[in-house]
Amino acid sequence: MRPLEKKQMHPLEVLIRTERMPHIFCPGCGIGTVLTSFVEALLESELDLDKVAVCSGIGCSSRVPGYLKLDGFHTTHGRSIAFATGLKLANPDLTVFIFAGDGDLVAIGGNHLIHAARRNIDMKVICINNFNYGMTGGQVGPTTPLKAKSTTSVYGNFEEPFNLVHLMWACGAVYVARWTSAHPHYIKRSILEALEKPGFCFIEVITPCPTNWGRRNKMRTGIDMTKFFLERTVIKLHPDPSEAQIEMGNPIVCGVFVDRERPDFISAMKEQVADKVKIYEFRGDGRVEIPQVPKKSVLTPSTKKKLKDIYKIKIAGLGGQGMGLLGLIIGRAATIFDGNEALYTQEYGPEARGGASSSAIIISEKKVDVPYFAKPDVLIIMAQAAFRKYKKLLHPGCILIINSDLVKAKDIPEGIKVYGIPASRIAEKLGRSIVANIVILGFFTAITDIISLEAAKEALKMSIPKGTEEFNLKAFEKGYEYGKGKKTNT
Amino acid sequence: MKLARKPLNLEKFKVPRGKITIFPERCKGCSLCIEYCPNEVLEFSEDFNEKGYHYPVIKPGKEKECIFCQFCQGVCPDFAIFVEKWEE
Amino acid sequence: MSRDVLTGIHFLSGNYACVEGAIAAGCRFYAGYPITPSNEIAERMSARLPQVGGIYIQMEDELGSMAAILGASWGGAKSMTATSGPGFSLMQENIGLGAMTETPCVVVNVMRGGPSTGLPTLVGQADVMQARWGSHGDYEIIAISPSSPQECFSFMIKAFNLAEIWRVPVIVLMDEVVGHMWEKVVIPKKEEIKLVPRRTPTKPPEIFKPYKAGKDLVPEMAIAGTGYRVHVTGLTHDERGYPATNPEAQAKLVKRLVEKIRKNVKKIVEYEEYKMKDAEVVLVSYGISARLSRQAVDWAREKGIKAGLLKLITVWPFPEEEINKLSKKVKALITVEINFGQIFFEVERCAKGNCPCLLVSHAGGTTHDPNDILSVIEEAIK
Repeated sequence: MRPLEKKQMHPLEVLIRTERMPHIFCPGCGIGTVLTSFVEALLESELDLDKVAVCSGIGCSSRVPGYLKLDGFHTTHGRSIAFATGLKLANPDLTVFIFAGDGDLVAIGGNHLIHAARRNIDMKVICINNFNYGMTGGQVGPTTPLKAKSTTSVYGNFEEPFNLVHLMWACGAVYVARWTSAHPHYIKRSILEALEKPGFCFIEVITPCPTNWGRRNKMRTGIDMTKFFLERTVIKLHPDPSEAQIEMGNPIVCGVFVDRERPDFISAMKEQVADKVKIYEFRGDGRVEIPQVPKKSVLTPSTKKKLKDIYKIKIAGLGGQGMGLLGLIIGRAATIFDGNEALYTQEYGPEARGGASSSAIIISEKKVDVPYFAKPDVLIIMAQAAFRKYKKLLHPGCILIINSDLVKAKDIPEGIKVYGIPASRIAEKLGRSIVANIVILGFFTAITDIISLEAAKEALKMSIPKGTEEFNLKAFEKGYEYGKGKKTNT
Repeated sequence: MKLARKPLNLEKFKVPRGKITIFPERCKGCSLCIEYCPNEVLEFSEDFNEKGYHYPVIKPGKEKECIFCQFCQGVCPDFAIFVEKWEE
Repeated sequence: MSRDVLTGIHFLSGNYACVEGAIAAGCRFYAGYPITPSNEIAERMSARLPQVGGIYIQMEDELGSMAAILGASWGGAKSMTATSGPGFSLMQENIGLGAMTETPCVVVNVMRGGPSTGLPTLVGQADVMQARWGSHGDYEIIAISPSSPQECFSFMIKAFNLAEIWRVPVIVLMDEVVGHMWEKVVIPKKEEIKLVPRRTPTKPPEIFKPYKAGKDLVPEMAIAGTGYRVHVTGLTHDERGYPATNPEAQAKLVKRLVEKIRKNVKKIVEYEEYKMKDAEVVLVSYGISARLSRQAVDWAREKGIKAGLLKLITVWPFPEEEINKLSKKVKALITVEINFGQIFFEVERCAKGNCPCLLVSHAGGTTHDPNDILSVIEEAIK
């Protein structure tokens, strides 16, 4: 029988970009075999091939998507898994495959590999392991066996390589298999098995790189290497991942090492989150119906508070005293409920508690440009350390509000009105010293005329944990009444 | 590859026959198909393809020996050979 | 009210407003890595995205974050990430991939003091040139810079729209002060927000060429799973998307990538003019520095100096023509930025020597003192 003309179609061609054939892989290279097995598996499966996407990084193995008539993404070195994570989470209907080599996936891409396995993102990774960086000439890689030669291990490799199946088992992959390119029917079978398994599936295929690796390790042709694999391979039924290290001179254990169940990323997300947000589908492409919220949208406030001036307020205390919250509530009161403008900034030290903490807020009718000021109109001080630090900001005409329990305001210059309130004791009497800042809020509202009473109360209600409104309002009122009393007395 | 043993009742089974198609210009001469054919049906051609590789041809006289195992099709890295079932 | 557009008056920080703007723009995928001062964006995203059926994923590093948002975009998502200086440096390779594959996405850089670890909690504006030239090779991107939480909201919508129109990663150059300051933010009704949808193919798969563009130099985008079976690669490619690593393909492709923005500059560039009509001295600024500059302009006007402010909304592409025109009219162009000169060199280049170009620099850590800016104005007017 004479060989026929090219006009006849190879049965697998339906998935191949034949206009780009022959591919760049060397004679005897195993990547082509993996490509063939993959195409056979896809055609045998019942997948909608429009919904199959293949991603790859950089290297010979990563050239595979370029030859497949599927949505293919040839990305950057080591990042195919991260890219595929985004692709899959955007459209969970896609079946996502990764084709990449050992160097790409495990060295530069190592971090993404282990995390995607940990997260159990639903993707099928086919790691084409040819023991070196083939495309760049044959440098040593993280899977090069001990003592093997390469262009950058000319005296023999002395770094222990990864045992990839063990690594993937440890990271939580739900399906881990290893074959060689001499077992194409097994490769196909594993791909079909992986398709039935939601979650992170890892198929390592040991392949010949005769041109760059084999040649330097006494196996010059694809046939030599394939024979080597066949001789050394031992197929086991339930092989133990920890015993699967590849060493020259030892058998290469092949088989399905891991086959277990674990919820994949989206299922785990649904389980944890869905009930809390009352949405039961999550996808990045936005094709989820969003529920309506029975909230009235306030685009124009019901009242507007007139301001005589621009008010610069500085609030200072110790971290943990709620200085930030105080400024926030004042800001919300002014903008959302009083129809004015507010500009609020915070200063942090590195300590979470006990360090000096201050915030500044500017209330005005028109928007203000500069967020900082040197001379505050109102200085609210909650702790002695803050008083020491900010005393120098005091100037004639400004108002000083202190928590008289903690702050002794000594040596105040002329022209400054000082108002004190034993906020800590009031708060303690009410039941919790943490609301001292809310007591101060009430006091501030009464003493100054910057935010209206109603606005302050509404802003307070929206700024505290649900269920604490009554308690906080009591604290607010105590401070407010105390302040009203002080005002009439002065 | 030679068969290790020959079943005693081999004649009782109807062995399928395969029809081989080769794309000479795609072949890169890796010889995997030739090496692993269980019936040793293939051999290298005399002439070269355009890239300078010898490609597989069926050994004269062995046209009816292909048993449709499709191993050559599965192992070929270059989509250069495939086998269809020979319908009588 | 729909959960994705929280219509009403809010008091929000720049970072929080950025999240609301993104979600209002249709963003449903965020992949990021924690880094101060952008953490609030990630935190709010992790809470808000599931509420609208979107996905938040915290990647293992910024390299993965950038790769993931590109992948999500090809899966049909409007995707974004947020970072600061050190993370922005890590993202550069994949920003290049985004530019080369023409992938719409948004990258927020809440700039902080640098270089290297620098000032994690304090402001800087020294990543501007990096936004333009950070990745290797020839490409163009769009970068916009908000100056207030309200702009953080509206500019995110602008960013997503620009990304879809021009099929390019859009960098939103926020800074730590704008990110952490709280101001009034008015979120309009959902119907009033204009969104630009992705341009899908108008031809069937048999004849569609994924990288063939029309007159505006932007090709239609066929995402994964729609039957178009596109091949997308970072290698130089031809109109079919296939690798074509030769000078002819390079000339055709890279020229188009660059001209896509350069030839459409007039449709992209945006700026705000403040007291510019009769200005004799013009300040050029962006981000938080624009607000300090505006204060300095007001003080200068009080002193009788005819000062004006050109506030850049799009930092890249740079308004070359406008600056050149201005340079012929004014006595001086003063650039105000929190760095030792980045946009300043662009201003100088475009002024072509027509007028003196001055720089009010700042090492970072805090904003300019408007008095310093005023002194430079007074010097320039002499």
